[in-house]
Amino acid sequence: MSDPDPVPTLRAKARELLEQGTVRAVVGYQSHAESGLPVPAVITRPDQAEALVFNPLCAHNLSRYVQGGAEKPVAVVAKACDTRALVVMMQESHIRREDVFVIAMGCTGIVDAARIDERARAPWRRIEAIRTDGDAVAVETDAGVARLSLTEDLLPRCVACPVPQPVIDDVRLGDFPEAPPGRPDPLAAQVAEIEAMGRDERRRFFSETYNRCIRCYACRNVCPLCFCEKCFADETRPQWVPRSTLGGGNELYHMVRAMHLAGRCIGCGACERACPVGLPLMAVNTKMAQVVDGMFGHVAGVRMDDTPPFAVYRDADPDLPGHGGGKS
Amino acid sequence: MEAVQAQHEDKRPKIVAFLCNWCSYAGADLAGSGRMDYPANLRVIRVPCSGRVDPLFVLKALEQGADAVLVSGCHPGDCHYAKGNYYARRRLTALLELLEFTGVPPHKYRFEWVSASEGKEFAQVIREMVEALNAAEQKAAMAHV
Amino acid sequence: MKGTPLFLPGDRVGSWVGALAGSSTVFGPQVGSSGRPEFALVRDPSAVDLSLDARRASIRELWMPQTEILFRYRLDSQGATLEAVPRPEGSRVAFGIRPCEAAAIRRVTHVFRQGKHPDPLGLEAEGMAIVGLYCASPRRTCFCAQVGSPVDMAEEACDVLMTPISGGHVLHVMTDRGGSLAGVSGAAQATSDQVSAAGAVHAGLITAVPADGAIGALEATALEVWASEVFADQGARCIGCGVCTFLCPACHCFDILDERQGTGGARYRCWDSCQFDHFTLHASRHNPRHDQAARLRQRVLHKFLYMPQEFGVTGCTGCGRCAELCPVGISIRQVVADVRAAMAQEQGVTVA
Repeated sequence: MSDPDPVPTLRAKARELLEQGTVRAVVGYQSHAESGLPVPAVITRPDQAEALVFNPLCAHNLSRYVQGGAEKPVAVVAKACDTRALVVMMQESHIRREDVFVIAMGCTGIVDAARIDERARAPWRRIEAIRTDGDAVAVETDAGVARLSLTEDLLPRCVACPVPQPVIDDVRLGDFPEAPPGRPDPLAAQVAEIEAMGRDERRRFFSETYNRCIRCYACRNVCPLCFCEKCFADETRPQWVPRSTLGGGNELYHMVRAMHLAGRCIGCGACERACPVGLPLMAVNTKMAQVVDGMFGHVAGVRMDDTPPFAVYRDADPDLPGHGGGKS
Repeated sequence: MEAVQAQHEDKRPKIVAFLCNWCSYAGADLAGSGRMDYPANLRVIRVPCSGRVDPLFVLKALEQGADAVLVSGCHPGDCHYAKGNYYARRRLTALLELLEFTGVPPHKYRFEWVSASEGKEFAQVIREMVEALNAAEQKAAMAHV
Repeated sequence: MKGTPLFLPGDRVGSWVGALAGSSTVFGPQVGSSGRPEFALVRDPSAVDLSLDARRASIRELWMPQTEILFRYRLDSQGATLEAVPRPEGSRVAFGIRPCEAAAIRRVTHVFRQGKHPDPLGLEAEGMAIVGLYCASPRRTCFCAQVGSPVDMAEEACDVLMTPISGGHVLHVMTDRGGSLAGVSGAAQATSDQVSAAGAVHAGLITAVPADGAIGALEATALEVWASEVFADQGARCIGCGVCTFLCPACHCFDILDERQGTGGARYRCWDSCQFDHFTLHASRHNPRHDQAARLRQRVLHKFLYMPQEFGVTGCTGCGRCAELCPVGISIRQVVADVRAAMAQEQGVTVA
């Protein structure tokens, strides 16, 4: 069934859920009061439902707002890919299925908002409207219309969209592509490019990357799966990660974070988009997802009945170099 | 006592070794009591099981200036707690991939299975690690000439 | 615009930077190792490029490095030995920073001048000479003209202001220190046409920032705005990272820590952020700012209520970094505007 504009249905659903008390809050997108760009919104009153929007600029992974102390049950507006984060949270018993009402939104890819600057004729301040128009998104700004292609201007993670169908949902609104688009994955290409470097060059690449980190922790705080009540990076007894940015603290933070996300990262790319200094943070995350898939056959959050990959083992797991696989 | 401490401080290269209490620690002990010769560059941290070793420990030791880190536990199938080293194996093999991908030189880390009876093997592992570290240091020194 | 107007042809900027770098430590806009524009120590004067838009790069590093070692120590059987770390000496010049950024740096010094014992940190910011660069056009989230006037900010903070016009820059020399900086530029007296061209650029920026969003210091007591629902509404989506505060040219909070490695260590100062949950965490685990709404309120009130009350200036000059770089689009201008609107509604008056 085709639903050309699911937004009215979305608003009605959110209103109904809040009116009937099914949920205590709805996490969705609304247009920013100044820029008009979609931003996360946590609404608790039925009248606020009218402000909800959904369009191909809705990049945020809102499952971040289901973490920890958030009031539950909560409804969350989720793209198919975003539902993977909810699944991982459930597999790890961070949240329960009944805590979350999933409003799954059909999506054919999110465009990179940074491209508006390139495509608008003049510097823009405010978006008046966002319309999907065939294979493009027409972003109507105060400085004219910027047309963004739904194939050329996609976020890196959307180009090869591996999971176009939601893993879990309570209601589906809009159209969901049946299968992945079958385009080459730019994130995998980035990993291959790094792997093609020599070891010393890779070392330089990562050292330079982490040297530029300002330790604002936006990558961690925006991540739906960084939900530890106390992050190792904030521990003071022991002070695992030095607060100093002069020594190896930056790198220690990023390397340990990569390990903590191995087999858990769903590849939403929120960390990289949040980084104010533009670090290529998805490279290690993509690599570790490949490693865990290759070695343990685990892809994060694509099946509800999976077990977290580091909470299980098999006799036949790959062994350390120099040792045969399996039981000795 | 101070002289001994100073000697320890200055002993380079320095290897931090996380050794499982039930096997590799005993293996190191056997190497010692068997008077097998191996370099004294080791700083041993005894852990109850290789499964106790958080990748954070390895990375933290490197950040703190260890020249290399060794993690060693019981062979798969021999864990005192039945399966701790199987969990360790998943973590350590994944960590190996991360270290390789980010270009950390391979002489800075080694993960091994060494049983309580493998004193000879333990001594050999340490010898190889120190040799690799010395070779890397020489290479670096040559590069600066 | 106050000051004597001079004109410097565009091709003379490099040699001017070179002359300045001969006698001072100079920071200027350059392409960083990552390919992004940044403000960095000038090693090669020809690398300074005033056409770069470095308005989203950190500026705080210029006067307050993210991590700064105060002293080192060694522990042995005799006790502890302290080793002083020399502070940077000589004059320093920030070249090509914007009026809003310049004003922010100057305003921070108020904080460090408080009380009987001025903090040398703030005096470092004061001692830094500033060659400002006026903006030809604002970025999307810039709001300097809504929180003041970029011309006033330039006069408040710059030693010399450069205004880009066709063929070069008009230099307005505002201070004696600026006079000696401009003295080595080789700039000649500006013609009246050049001065009026600069005037048009000054006015152009102000008109390019929408006038209807003007905000200013909150004219209220903390108690009157404390419970405003605006903080809870906007704070609900705040993720508690340090993007806004770490990139803010006027934020200045820091922590002092010891770090030990083996038998030695260092005491250092590093940036801290009121947006972090552990910023106000007590040893008892009690946290007086227990949620992001409270932390957002602190950031906003510090800049728009406490600083105006203490020093008569806002702690925000509208550079727009926080709003542009916030991962979830929180705009301090919008928060202040909403608080003012809510106050006005409560008092039964409308704000213009």
